[in-house]
Amino acid sequence: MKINKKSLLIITITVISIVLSLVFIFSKDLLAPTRILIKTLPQEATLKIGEKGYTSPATINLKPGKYKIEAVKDGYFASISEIDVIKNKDNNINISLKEIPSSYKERLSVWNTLTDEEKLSTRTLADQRAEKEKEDFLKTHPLVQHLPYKTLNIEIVNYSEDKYWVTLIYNQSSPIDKNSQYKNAKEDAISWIKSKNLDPSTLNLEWVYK
Amino acid sequence: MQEDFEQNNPEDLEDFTPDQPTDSGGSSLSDKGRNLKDKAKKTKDKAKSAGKKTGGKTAEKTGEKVAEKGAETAASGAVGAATGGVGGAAVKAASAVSDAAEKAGISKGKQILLGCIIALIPLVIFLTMAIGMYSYFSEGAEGTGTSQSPSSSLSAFIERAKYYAAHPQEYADKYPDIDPTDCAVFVGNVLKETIEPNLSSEYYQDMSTFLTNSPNWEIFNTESNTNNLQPGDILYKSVEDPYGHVAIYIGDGQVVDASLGNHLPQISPYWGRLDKGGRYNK
Repeated sequence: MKINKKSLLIITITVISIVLSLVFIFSKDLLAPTRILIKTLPQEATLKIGEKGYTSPATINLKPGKYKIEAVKDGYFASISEIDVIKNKDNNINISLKEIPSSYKERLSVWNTLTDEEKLSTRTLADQRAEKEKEDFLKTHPLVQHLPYKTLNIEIVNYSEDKYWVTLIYNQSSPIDKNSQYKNAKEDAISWIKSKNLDPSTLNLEWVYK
Repeated sequence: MQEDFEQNNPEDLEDFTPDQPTDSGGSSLSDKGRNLKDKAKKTKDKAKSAGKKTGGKTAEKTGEKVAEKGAETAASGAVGAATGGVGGAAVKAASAVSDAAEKAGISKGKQILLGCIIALIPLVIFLTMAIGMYSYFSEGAEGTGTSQSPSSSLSAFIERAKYYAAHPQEYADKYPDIDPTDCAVFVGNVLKETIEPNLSSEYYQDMSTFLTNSPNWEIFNTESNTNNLQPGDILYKSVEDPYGHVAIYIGDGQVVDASLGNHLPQISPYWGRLDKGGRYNK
């Protein structure tokens, strides 16, 4: 049988097309995302995989490969685990979080079992909590961000014991009598607070005469 | 030595002398001294160009700055008198050497050069001291220059914390291998740089163990009362210790803290939620 050049070209192109189609179909199937279920004990922990965040239990689609899962929850030490997502395999993951003991000694002993990454993650969460507390404090105590305020006759330094401590200072060398000085200082303090768009009557001011 | 001609030339010295009440030879220039001054004036341009050639521009500028500083100080009295004393003594010494050289038959040009060199020696010493004092006091005014040697006092600890809060990037650059937002490591580094030079880095993430075991520190309850706090107290949250937040109280209701992943060292109002403190007792 004699095959001419034209037929040979057609056969070659057909074979190549079939091979490429098969490679495409199989590779697509191999690299297709796999659905995995991540559970934590207790639930409702914050999960972080790459840059994305989830709340447990979470069902997510991941392409085959290795991933690092960070699980954090208030009251628990952070957990960081690595998973290898493989096609057609049970990829369900259960993460058990270690509760933070109330006693310092027990807490320290668990702390020492954590990896450096878990420690860092736990401490990051604690610092975030502190930042949140700071933020809330400033929202509920708006005068604090303007402190300390000090002049010759007034000192408003800090907020403590649920009060703003306003010290009115008497100047002995001044010809103005003590009561008038205190009165003027008080008016100055109120005026300054108002200048910060705050109503002094809504603030718990503790007047200290010095 | 040539570059010093400009910064120490006798013309500049005159700016120092008018207000000087006492002096061991500088209050009135001798005739020889005046001659020397004239000669020095003539050689000024030569010296200046020579100084420039030999990299004397910087020294010249430094000399001018010191001369300006010296003039201001002289107006206030004290240092001016010392300057005049040194200047007068220098000129006297120079004129004496010049005389001796003349007798020895040394040429006029060499006499001037020799006289100037002799006149410069005490002045260079004086200016070195003045520059040293100037740099010392200017550093002292800033209070927290990193070039300062670590102090053993608690105030050094507080000032260093404040300094890093004012220059957070400097802190980050100084410790490139750590996370500069790490609160505990920040406190550990400031401690180590100042009052606890032997602090082991293993304590950085367990500050309370260090504070509890160290004889230099006492643990106390803050009870959310900033009126009870003292500058230099290290504050932390007992229920989170050793992994929780830690900050340095600097007074006036303020703390310096870094926050992991949130911010570099900065001054913040104290929010009253860190219930434990460590107080330096030395």
